[in-house]
Amino acid sequence: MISSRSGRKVAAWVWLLVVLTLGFTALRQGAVIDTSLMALLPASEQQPLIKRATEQQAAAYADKLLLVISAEDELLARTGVQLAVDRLKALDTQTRLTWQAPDSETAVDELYPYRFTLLSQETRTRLSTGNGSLQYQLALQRLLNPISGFGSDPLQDPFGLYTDLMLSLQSDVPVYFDSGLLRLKASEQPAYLLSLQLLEDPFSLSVQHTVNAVLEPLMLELAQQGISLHRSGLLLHAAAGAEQARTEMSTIGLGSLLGIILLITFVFRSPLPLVLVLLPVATGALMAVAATQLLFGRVHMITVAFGAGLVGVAVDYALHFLCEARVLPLDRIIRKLFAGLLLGLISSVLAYAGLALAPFPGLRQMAVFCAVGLIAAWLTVLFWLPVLSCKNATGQLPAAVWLNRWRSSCPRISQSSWLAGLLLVLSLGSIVVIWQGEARDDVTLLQTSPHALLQEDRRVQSLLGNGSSAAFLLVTGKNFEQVLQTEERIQSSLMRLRDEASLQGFKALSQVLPSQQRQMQSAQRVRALYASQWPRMANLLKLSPQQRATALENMQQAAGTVLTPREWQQLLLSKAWSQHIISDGADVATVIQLQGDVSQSLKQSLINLAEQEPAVYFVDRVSDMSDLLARYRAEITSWLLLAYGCVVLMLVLRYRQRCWRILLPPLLASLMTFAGFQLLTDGYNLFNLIALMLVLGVGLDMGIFLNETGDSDHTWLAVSLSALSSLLAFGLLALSQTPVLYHFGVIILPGLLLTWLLATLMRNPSTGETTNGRVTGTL
Amino acid sequence: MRYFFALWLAVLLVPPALAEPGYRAVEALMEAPTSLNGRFEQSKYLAALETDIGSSGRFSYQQDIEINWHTLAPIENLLRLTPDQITSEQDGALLTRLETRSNPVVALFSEIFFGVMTARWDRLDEHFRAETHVNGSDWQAILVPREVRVQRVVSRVELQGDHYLRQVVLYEEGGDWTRIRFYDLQQ
Repeated sequence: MISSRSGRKVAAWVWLLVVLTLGFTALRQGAVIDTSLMALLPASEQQPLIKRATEQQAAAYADKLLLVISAEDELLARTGVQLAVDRLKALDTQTRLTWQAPDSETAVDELYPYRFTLLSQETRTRLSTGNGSLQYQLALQRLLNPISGFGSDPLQDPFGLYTDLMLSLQSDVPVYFDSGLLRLKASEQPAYLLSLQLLEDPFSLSVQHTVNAVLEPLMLELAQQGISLHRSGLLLHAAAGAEQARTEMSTIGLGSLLGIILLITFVFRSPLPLVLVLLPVATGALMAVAATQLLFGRVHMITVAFGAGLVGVAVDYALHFLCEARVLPLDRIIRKLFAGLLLGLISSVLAYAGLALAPFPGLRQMAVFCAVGLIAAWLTVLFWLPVLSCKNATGQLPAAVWLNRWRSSCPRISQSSWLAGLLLVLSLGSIVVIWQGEARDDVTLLQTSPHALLQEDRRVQSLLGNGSSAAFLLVTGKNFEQVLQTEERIQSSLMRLRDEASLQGFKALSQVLPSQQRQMQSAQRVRALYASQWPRMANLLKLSPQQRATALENMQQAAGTVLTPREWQQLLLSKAWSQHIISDGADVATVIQLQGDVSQSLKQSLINLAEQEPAVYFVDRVSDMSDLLARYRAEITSWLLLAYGCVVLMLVLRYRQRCWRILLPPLLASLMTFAGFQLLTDGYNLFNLIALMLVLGVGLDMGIFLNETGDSDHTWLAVSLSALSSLLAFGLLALSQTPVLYHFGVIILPGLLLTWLLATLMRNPSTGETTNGRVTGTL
Repeated sequence: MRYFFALWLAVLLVPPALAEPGYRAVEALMEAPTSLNGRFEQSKYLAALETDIGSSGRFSYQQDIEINWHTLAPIENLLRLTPDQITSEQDGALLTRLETRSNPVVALFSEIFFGVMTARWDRLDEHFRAETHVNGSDWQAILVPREVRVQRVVSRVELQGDHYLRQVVLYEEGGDWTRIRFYDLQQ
């Protein structure tokens, strides 16, 4: 006995050493928490340039806060802008505000030297037909107009090609300068834009707080004057998410924690068991984080959130130990529980660890996390709890007696044919419902922002001509020239889509910086225009031979002035286009932004377009996310089925024909819950399935323990407690406003409750009789 | 009596531009027909060539609806302005169409053109400071842009008229100017 006790002590110390070593090693590496959903995508599928482009697009959204101030009339809107600028001064240290037109408009004439090489699309079309006579007529008309608009210099640009270029460039810009302010073209009401560049992290809670402390009173103040303010920016969503998490933490989180504390303290009437229950779970979670960090180099947020939930199953192990400790001496507990504990562990680890086979980094992480967490929690119960709980058996717990009395009054399925029939009908009905059920892999599941805020954001973005879909085309190549040429090749297809009215518009770098090849072609067309139309024009203008010569000389010079990418990047104009250029050392890529909404049919056309051009990719982050969710869901579904298969095999091997008592409660509960959920909503998703895995894990543990210990009162108490604490911990998430958590909780709550009830109905006939000598099951 | 004389002198000496928004006095003198048509003669001075080009034609307008600027010599060209778009036609064929909605410069161009040609002083006041001189039934106004973006289109406008607008001179930043005279005006 002594040797075994000292042996246990040694084991406890060794386990402590392992925990500390692993914990410190991971800590020294520094925990990296990943929140990017892109990190969950299978690595091989993400082209580095695509990844960089998506990140760049996301970053541009992340560090900006856009405000749109609008009102019935211009004057009121401008007053609003002044007021906002005044109030936003308080944010000078955190943000940089842009609200005025730049003082000088030098940027406008930067392109003048390139007027014969950067022709607008319309001009190119005009020059390619009828020897440029259309352009000649247009130029004459401009010459005779009372106002020409851009100044005319017949010796430098007699055909007004620069005017054409400017007109086309200005048509593409969503903002223009009005009274020195930035006015939005697309708005019905007068609307002005203010842009705040964030100098600090938008996820920082203090930055969010400071910014909102200025924005919220400002909105009220403006609203009182009849001026509206619309906002867009990651900070707002991050702040809304943080606020929601805080609220839910202080309601749902606190509620479930209090519930568990009250439950354990009430049942055991002492605070120590609470510590003993939480210790294995905490150790398990810690080891899981450490192992994941060491194996993967980083831990994803979603892994922690759901992994910690799944490891929560380990609460069982401690509860069984504590419950048995009331009626058995310490050294006999482990012997009695060992088989059940081991089986419970193996079934749970089997159920979760198989996810590692899936080709998704996210699922693989979760599998490692759960397996390590469960094993660590299990070892903690085995090695530490006997040492820590020094108390010897103190007699039956009142709760166990009370609970057993209740259980005895319940009917048993094997004795009640109508109950069995009812369950059979319900199960078959559920299977039918599930068979017809549809999945809904909506990316909005991952959104935490309130609907109103999303609408507001979308409104601002659409005023700026940005699509709501976040889809874009990525054009790759070895160098700028190649990329720009590819862009030009697909531009005609895009313009056809635009003319068919399915695509609202697009923004491509080649619209402002054509390829060298195209610039030379343009210059050639200009030379042809001069050859055929210049004499007519010169005669009309009554030019002297000297002037004619000068004009031709000017033309030859300008037609030879090509804008290179290097020169382009020196221009002020290029700043507005920096988001379009993705460079990755050797390779170059550009982003073609799509304006407006991308419908399903348009998406298909764009995908087809990209398939024809090997260097062009259609990137749609939203549908990538939905696809990702769908594929994860498919993986989880097949794994859930496989897990049930393996578990059935294992249970049959050990329990033979008794195995239905273990298997059916979680299985039927899952079927009914899942069917009920599908009847009430319009589709299931990944997170419902993860919840079903937890139901399976808890349910199996319940059945295995009840069978292993002959359905003793205290085992029954332990499984009831574990079901109830899981209900409190995860079931309450059904109250959450966060879609992911809600979809998890809404399955756990009825699922676990039903599992527990079914386990009661399907208990062994020997229940209570052998342990307490009482006769049960009168029905 | 002396008091009244002083008051009369004071009124006389205060330039009208300081008394009211300058255009009110002119507005009072002018007829504001809802539609008008007539003949125009235009002379455009091109600074770069140090020469001017003459043209002539007919025009008609309906206030706030449409202006037709039909040049007949030296070439035929019809410029049609509505609040939404500016189109240019030659021999009935469409040359260009510019939407005011998508292009702020076109919108501004159209606003100035409408304001000047149809003598909408309240609209012009948004973009220009006006200095007016009234002499009997004749008047003269000089408009100076309030904003840089207007200045880029037209740097100064001189208007002359009686109960109708008779002459417009538009100056552009590069030194070009355009003088338009109206004849045979009919409502």
